Amino acid sequence: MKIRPEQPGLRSLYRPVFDRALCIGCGDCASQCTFNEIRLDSRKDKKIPQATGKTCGACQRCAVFCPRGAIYIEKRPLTLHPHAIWNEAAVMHVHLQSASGAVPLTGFGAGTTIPTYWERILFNACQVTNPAIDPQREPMETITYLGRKPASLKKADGLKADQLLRLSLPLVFAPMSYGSINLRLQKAFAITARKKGILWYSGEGGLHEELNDYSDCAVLQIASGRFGVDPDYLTKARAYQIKIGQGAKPGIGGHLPGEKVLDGVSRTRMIPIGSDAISPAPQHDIYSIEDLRLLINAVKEASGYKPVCVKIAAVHNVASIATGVVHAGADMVYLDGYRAGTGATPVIVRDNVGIPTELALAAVDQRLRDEGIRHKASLVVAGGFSNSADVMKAIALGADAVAIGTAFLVSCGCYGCQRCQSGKCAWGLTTNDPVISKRLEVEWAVERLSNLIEAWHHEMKEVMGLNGIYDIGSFRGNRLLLRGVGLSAKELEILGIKHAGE
Amino acid sequence: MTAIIESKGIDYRKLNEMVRVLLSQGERHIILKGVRGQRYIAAGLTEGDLLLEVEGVPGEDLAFCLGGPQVIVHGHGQNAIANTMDSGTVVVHGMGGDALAYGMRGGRLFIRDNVGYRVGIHMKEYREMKPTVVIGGTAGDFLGEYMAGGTLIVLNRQNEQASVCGQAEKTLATGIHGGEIYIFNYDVPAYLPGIGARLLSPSREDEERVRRLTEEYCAHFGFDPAPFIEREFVKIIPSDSRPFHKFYCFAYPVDS
Repeated sequence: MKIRPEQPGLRSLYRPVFDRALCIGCGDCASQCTFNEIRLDSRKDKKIPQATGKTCGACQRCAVFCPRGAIYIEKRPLTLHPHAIWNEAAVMHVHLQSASGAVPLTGFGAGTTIPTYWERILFNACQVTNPAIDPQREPMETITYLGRKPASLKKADGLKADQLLRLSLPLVFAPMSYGSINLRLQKAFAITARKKGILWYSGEGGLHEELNDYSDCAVLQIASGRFGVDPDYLTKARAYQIKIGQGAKPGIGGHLPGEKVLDGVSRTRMIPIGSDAISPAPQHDIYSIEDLRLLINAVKEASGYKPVCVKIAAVHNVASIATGVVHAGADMVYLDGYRAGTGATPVIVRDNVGIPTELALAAVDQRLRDEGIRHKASLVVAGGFSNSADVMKAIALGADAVAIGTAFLVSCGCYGCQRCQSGKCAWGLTTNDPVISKRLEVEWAVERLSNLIEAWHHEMKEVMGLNGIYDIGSFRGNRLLLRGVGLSAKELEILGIKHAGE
Repeated sequence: MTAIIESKGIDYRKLNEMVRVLLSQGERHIILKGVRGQRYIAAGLTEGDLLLEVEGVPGEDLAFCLGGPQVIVHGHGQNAIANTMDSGTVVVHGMGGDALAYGMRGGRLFIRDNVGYRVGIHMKEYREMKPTVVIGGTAGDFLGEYMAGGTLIVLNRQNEQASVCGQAEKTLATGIHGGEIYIFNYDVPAYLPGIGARLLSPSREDEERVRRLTEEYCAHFGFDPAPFIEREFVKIIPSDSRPFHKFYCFAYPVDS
């Protein structure tokens, strides 16, 4: 819904500031801004940029592209009477809802002050009695296999090694569907996944024909809307993912508005152009673990027994749910935590629903071990991973691999303005606008993504080496490598780690 | 040539594998005798010239993601028949269970008698693909929920006057945003249709299309179509193809 600018609530939080001494009046800033924040006043042969103060979201596009470095973004000052509750965010939110009568939507993951446990967990390191390993001079093993594994070497139970998914390092591309991101970005993910020996997840938007060649390193999703799922889809992928829940919006479904269902999205999702693509929150054929088993096995039957992953959101009883999912026959559990990103979610859901990834991961890993079924499914976790240290902390807490979404978007230009759902992403990432999406060059994105993965890979090996470990398998679930700082006894108990100094 | 498999006592995985082996040998008429609840029969099969006959009661997810074959069940069906079905025809000479035709994109499903709850949820359509479900008897609650395309017909052949398309308030076609539902010879109570659903009288073209599908149904089960067709029916469609577009606003300004 559109809100009239003169109403309170539409005030933008930021504005571009122009250094008039440096500005050469080229007008590039205005053409880079897809939100019409910058107006150009013509004066002689120069174009003088002016901020309108209405729509700047600090996406940084104008500042990065200014050839003279003459722009920076500042927070627009808003002086309010100090108050513990009625701060700027609270006041503006009420204004916005009073103007619109609607539910505010945002993108990205939750940025609330709910504790982030990664920053309160520290690694061990070798001293005196156990030698560290120099990863630059000695071989380090980060190859990870995902999927159902036998209980013991003797009891293979008919499982075949070639059904496992091989990752050269324990990272995967988090599911982001074509529609929420554009095809160029998804293609860059697919190319990079193949190049770096990892996997990309399609999300629920189907598989565009241009990406057919990358289906062998793809995990294709089957969600409640069944978009793009046909018999052919069920033969192509390396593995399948059934989406039950999503960390950024546990308990609610997806809704790609009809405006975004243009020709390419229509063909890929197999729905008419301009129709709303609604994914109901529940899959209405799944009301129980037994129902979930039906879908898992149906997908296996139709796909020639490819591995099946089930994606669930981290919620209060997630350990029990994950156990049920494994008992239902999932080969992988994809656990999506509180800070998981998204292209569109109601603010109220993103910020208030679910539990932190760290606690959910520790609880799920422990419960699966207690039940003696940890080997039956791999654990892929996602939700708020912004650096490689957090990835390694998750591995030590018990994850087999970590899914990265937002960090890969940032790698391709995103500065986190959280307006993914507007279809106007100035970096050409979360838009299918035929003109704006051309801003993203696939080769450039592949190089950036590869660089980031390479850099993290080095850091991950460094962390392994300084702990004297040269196989990721010895790092996984090795909670003795971790110590908590400033955590309560209960938090330490759930995380299954000791306090620093113990 | 007709290939016959005595299915009694065979695990579903082995049974479905046996069907696939016969298909690879070129068999195109396969009869499964003595079926006792084996699941996923015909899941993902794409041989358009296949006629698969099931004698007995197949298990859940019959014809999951079916892409072309004709499947005839001589007996009752269970839950989740024609889940995500793409094309082909499924005919059940008996009753159907819950959650039939979930996310069905194309093809035809004919059920001779009554069906359970949650039938036709999120049926959709795409280009020339328009799924059709014809239910001979009555249906339970949540019929056509989130329906996005295709045609659902409840023939009510016993002319029931209660529980023809569910009983619970606002469960019929809730959230429908595409497609059409036809209910025969039943005064649909005003409290039944859910948010987004609208009741109206069918047009002449609707009558013609429904008549053809009814005749097709009757041909499958050997009924005389005349008494079916002479009855009245109502149509349910979305009240608005965009029922929720005023529900959300942007949390941050995006347009000046």
